[in-house]
Amino acid sequence: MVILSLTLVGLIACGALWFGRVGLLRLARFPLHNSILAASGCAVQMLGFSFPPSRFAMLVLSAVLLLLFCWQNRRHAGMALIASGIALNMTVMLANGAVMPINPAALRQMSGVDVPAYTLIDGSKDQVLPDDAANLAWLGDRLLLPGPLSALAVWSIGDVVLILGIGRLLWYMMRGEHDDNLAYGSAATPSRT
Amino acid sequence: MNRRTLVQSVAKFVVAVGILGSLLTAGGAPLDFANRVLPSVQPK
Repeated sequence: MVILSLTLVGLIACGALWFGRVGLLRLARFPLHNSILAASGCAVQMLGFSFPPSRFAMLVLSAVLLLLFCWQNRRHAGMALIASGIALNMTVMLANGAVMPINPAALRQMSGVDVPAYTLIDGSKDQVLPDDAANLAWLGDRLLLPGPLSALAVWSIGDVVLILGIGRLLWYMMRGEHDDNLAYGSAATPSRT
Repeated sequence: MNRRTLVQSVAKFVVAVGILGSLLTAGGAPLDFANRVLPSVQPK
């Protein structure tokens, strides 16, 4: 999960460089609705992974909360991509008993370690599953960045779609596309006369 | 921008980043370099 935090920080830093302080202020003041749904979805999922017997039910509840948040904010750019990414990841996880299947070859290339099939990887959502043992294996963790960057992470298609959506939403938020008439700080509001 | 407005803006910024972080953390599922140490795994 560290790579996702770094990705978010990187995207915000790019936005800050491009739009400056105004971009950060727009991000802070952006009206996302029912944010409690996103926070609850995250909390519920973490609880589920802490108590394995409830993992499947908590993952379903988490998916519902997250997708409900996306629906409530569907008019914002990027939200459809975010919802699609979440849906892809949740679909493959629910199809595999609430774990994300990770391709053994991709894991070997990333970590340099051969991991026995069916191993649950500590501190992650992943279980090592060969393609013939996983449902919807093509939606699982199997994508690597090129060259030495392959050691950073193993991604799923859903992860890629989700990050594209977050990037689009951040651009939309920091550029002020939702309300181009808002003025921040000392900037003057254009006269309507 | 006075101090109170600044504090409010920082708080709102933290909340906004937290929401985006929640979406990424709960919606995403990559396995990353932080998981490279795998105590339950015996290298061949």
